Amino acid sequence: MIALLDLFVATATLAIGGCGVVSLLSQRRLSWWEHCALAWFFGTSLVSLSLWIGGLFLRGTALQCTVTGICVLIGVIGLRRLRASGSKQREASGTRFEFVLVMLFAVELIAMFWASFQDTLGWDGLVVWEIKARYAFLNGGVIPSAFFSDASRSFANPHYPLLLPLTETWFYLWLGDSNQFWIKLIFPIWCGAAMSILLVAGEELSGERIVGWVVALLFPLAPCLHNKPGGFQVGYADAPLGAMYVAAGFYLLRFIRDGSRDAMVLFITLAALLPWMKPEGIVLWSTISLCGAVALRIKGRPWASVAASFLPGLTLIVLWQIFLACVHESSAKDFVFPTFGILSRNIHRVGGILDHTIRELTALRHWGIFWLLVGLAMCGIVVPWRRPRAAVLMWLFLVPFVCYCASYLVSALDYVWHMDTSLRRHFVQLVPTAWLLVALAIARRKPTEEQN
Amino acid sequence: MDRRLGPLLQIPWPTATLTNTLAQLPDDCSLVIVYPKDSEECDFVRCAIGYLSWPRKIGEVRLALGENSRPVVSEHTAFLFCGLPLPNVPNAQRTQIGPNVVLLSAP
Repeated sequence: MIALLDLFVATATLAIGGCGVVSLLSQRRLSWWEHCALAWFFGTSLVSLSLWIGGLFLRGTALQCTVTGICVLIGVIGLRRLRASGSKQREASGTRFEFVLVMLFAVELIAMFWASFQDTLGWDGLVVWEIKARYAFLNGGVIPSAFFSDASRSFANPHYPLLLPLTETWFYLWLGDSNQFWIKLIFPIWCGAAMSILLVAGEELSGERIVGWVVALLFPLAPCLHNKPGGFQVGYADAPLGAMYVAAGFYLLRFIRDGSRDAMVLFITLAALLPWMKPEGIVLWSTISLCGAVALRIKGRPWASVAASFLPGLTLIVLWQIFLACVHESSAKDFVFPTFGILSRNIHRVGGILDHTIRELTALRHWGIFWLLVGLAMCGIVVPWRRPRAAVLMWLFLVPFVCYCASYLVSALDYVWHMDTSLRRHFVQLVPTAWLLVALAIARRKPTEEQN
Repeated sequence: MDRRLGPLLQIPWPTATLTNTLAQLPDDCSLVIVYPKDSEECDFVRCAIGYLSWPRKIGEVRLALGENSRPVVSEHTAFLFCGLPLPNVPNAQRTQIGPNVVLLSAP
């Protein structure tokens, strides 16, 4: 019972801070679904960044109190600003059918919690992510600097960023124990956040709320997302990364549609946080930022604004690299720098990569018919070519997809083994975005669509 | 962790048992894990022991079938044998952790 209370306090402080950040970034009130999802994304980012930066100066109770203070302070400032703005919340229709769908949403989420508690944390969930949370917890909320330079623990990938481990640390600090059972509670929340964003994004893209509900409710049903390594239940960073990526992509699409300042700030901030989740986040951040830069320019923003849109993400990436250099992190990297020589030497891998990719996409026990659906959706979008949102969505999906597959050309490991262990998880990151392709494809075409 | 390690090590509370056993070693004592080559289970055991043995440095020796090791146990180096027969090491303290796991440390 005490553990549940501790978990509630940890979640509440994190959510208050996250709500505050949402209110500070967005002048207009968002829908309840968006607000909850964003509060979780920004709350986890705020807590992990505060623990990381605060941990350079403080530790133990002082650090925990400081981070709590930051969350509460930002929450209060955000709430005041929200009240002062006086704008109304975007509300759903509230029909009986909508109520049934909300119930279905809740049932799926509860099932995800159940699946999480049935399963153990996966291999990487334990020895790549949770290990850092445990060491930080044992060291007063700060990962010992000796850990980063300990070559004998390179299996834990010390160079991976800390959003997930320090969020876990936050829960451990409140629990007073590094408890691998209770920590599984946080992963289904990422799933709920992704579903919420898909609901809103699906509705906005298609113009029909039911399409939003269809993609949101079907999203967690692909086997890979709930009972295979890489899903929400095993404590990996891939599914949460996918959830944040689809949110960033959605606000980019909203910015392209209405050019609002809120959507611009949200897509830039969310994209900037992607490299803080996992190294692959840099690929996703680059994909969104490049597309965002083009959109900003087309909307008539000055070049300075376009350049400034890269700054938050770039700052975070550079700060993390400086930190790693300061703590003498030197673990062997999985990829080598792509030079012409290396690419020509490894060109023979192309066949193997294609073969492996096709086998993965068609593995029904991993994905069901999900990728078939996505393939059909892409054909449905390309044939009547709905610009520009379709083009943007295709970009957001295809660029990382191709980059992930091509990355095995420069893998420093046995590339077949490397693909066996990581390709599926890379695809998990793109699942929410792929669902938006499906939403766009099943939307009824309207006369205005061609110009939109 | 227990649910994954339990079947591999065949001991009831592997996390607590290993943590308590390793706690007997001084913090500056390195731990060398000796285990069979090409064993995915032992790979996980190695990572799990690395996880539990912090802040001690860890090393590893992978032995192919028929290969032997000659561990040199000292105050600063202990050896953990996983899934391999134990060689005869004089002047070393043996701690049987489970049917397949033995710790060799300085007496």
